Amino acid sequence: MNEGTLTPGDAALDQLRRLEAITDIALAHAGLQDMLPRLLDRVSEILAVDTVAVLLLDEETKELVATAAKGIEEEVEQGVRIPLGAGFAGRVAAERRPIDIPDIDQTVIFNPILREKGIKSLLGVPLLSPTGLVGIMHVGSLTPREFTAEETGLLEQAAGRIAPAIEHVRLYEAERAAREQAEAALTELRALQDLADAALAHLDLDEMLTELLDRLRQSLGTDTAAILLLDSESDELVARAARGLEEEVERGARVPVGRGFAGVIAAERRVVEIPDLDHADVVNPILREKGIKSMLGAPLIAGGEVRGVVHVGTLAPRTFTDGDGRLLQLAGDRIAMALDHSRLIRERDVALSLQQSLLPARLPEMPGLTLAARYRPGQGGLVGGDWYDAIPLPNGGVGLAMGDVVSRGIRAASVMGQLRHALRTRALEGDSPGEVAYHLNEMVRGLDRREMVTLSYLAVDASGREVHYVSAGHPPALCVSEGEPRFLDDARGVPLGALAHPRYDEAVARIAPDSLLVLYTDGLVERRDRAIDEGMQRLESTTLAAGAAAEDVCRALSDVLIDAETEDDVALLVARTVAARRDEFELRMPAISGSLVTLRRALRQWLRDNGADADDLIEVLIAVGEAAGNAVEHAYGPGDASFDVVGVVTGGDLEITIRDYGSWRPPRGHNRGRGTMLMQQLMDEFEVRTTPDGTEVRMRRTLGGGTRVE
Amino acid sequence: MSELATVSAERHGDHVIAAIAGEVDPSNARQLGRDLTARVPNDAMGVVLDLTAVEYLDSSGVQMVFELAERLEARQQRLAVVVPAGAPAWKVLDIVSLDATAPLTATREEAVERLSEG
Repeated sequence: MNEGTLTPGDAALDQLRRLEAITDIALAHAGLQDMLPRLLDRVSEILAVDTVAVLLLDEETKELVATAAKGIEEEVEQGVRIPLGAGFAGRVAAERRPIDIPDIDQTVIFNPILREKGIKSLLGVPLLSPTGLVGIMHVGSLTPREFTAEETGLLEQAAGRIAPAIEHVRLYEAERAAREQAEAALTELRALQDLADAALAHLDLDEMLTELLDRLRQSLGTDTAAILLLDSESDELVARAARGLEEEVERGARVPVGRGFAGVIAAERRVVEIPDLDHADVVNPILREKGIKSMLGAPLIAGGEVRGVVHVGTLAPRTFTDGDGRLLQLAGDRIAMALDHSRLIRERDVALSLQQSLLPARLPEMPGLTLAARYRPGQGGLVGGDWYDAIPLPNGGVGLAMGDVVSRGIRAASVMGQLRHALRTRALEGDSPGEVAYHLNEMVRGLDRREMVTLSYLAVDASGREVHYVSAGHPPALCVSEGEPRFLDDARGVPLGALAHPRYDEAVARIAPDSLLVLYTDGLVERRDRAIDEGMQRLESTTLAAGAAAEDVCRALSDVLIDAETEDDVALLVARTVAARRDEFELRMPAISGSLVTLRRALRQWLRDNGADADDLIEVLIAVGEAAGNAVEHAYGPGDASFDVVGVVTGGDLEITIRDYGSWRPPRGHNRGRGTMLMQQLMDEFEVRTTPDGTEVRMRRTLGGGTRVE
Repeated sequence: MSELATVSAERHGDHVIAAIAGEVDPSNARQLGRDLTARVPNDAMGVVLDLTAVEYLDSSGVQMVFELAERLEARQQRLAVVVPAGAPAWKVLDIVSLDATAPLTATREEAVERLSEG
């Protein structure tokens, strides 16, 4: 379009105004069918012609298609298509220049309608847009007419305004079509998104499936929807969830893989459609009873495995489209993923709660030892079989255990539970570390399925100076004594369960007061991106850099060594032997009779350190034993009940208090009466007080004075 | 497996000489009492219970000894207890006046003699 070619003058101004009108029309109308007739009116007016026609190019077929006409409407009505290059219109398009035919009787034209309409003269111009040929426009006269160059120029200018408008509208229409398509796709996508949302919300599995089926029914506009899950043991599909077909689940419908509608879907792993149920092989009579006419089903595949089948059905006959099939298959994939996800989540939850129930809820308070521990489940959803324990030993020492069941999941956690119980029992019965390992190996060998378990077990003696330990294929505990780190690796045995008759030789380490012992599982030091030696190096340096308290060391180790890259589960147990203040004694013990011996061991050592003679030792132990025995006997049931023993020696005078949180019963029968009598007779002072929480026995005695030598 | 206390018993003519070594407290007293009773045959005239090697004995142990004496008495059998003065169990048994129920002697021979006196 080149307006500079216009000649100045009134006529030209008038033409310009008319052309502006064409532009206005082009801009004011959105649809071609709406815009073109009005443009043609305008053109016929400007050029005073009898007919006007627009033929647009069909890019695919390379034909001109009659799209709008005035005076020769038949051209459009008959859907005339003219190949590029053929006839009058074809030549205008192919040569992209104006062509005029003063007398069509002398010319070969393609379209007989023009002759039939009695057109004598024709002028055609190409419709060119910046991107190329859009089509052609021609005008005709029923009387012979020679079109002037000016008239040709005018038609070209009109064409120059029309072509972009046409292109614009066509683009708009294409865009609208694309948008409609996209919106349809989006709706489909949204339906899928709904399914995924439902899957990811951590509903109970059955609630989740029901929700998925409702959304699926809505998306596909079906009356029924059902999910059957594969029972891999019987190779049957079992109805698990259904909407509009609840009987299937209620009756526990089972369909063998390979048979009937659902069975074929599972066997052939593809979408199957039944347009007419009356003529189909279905195994499940419920489908027919419910009056279902058409069905569509897809396999549930996750991780390459068929997990089940999802199907939808309609009560009215329906032919499902390919789109329906695609949507159902996509939904099936989502459901399968959700099932897998849910199964893993459930297994993880069960194993985790099982494991946590098996780890000590709180670490026992031990004489001469402070403890801190951590457990962190591994990545990837599966819980491991790491466990730890701290056990007061009958000889007054403390047993520290760290174990790792190599398998994963619920089974590992349950094996761990058995082992922890067995270890506890053995340790409380006084087994040495070597004996403990021997018996645990027997136990692991006796399991119905082969398991491999590693174990590190340390027994710290009552003095806190000697550690007897054993290792069954477990990373060595770290010991820091007098600031010197060393791994306790003199005892090396095979993992529990590996051999029928393994040797678990004990090793002994001497440690100073205020030493640290760090027990851990391999997850702490072993990572894919790091050598185990490097991990142990970091364990050592982190321990040395951390504060003195067990809790500080534990926190530092988990902060430094456990991060997003840590894949395995990790257990960590830190013990610090304490040099208690010489003249103070403080011990909290569980209110069970097994605590009494531990109390005596600890108390004997402390009394000795504070100048007690042989008589003091025996008599104070008995008096305190009587008070503690009462506390145990009066404890509220099993569980959390505990009692405290607090002692102080001032200038050779012992004052010791035994506090419990039960209710004191007045002495009953000979035995309890004797207990009270013993306390009174063995100590210089004896007093019982009832506190809001329980009962307090306070006793005093002068130590080493020989005052009680008889 | 180490135990808090062990029980031994052997027949010497008309008598059974039993001994406890270790510690007696509420966690094991009843069981020790049952073990002892089980080791005394019906035809024995008496039982010597040697507590010399007992390192700790509180009222639960005292109760166990009294109950043993009662059971034996019901079977027409007699009990003598051996605890030398100064042994860990002696003081407690002295305070509770065990000797009012069963003779308390320093040696097994003495105890057998006391039982034979009838």
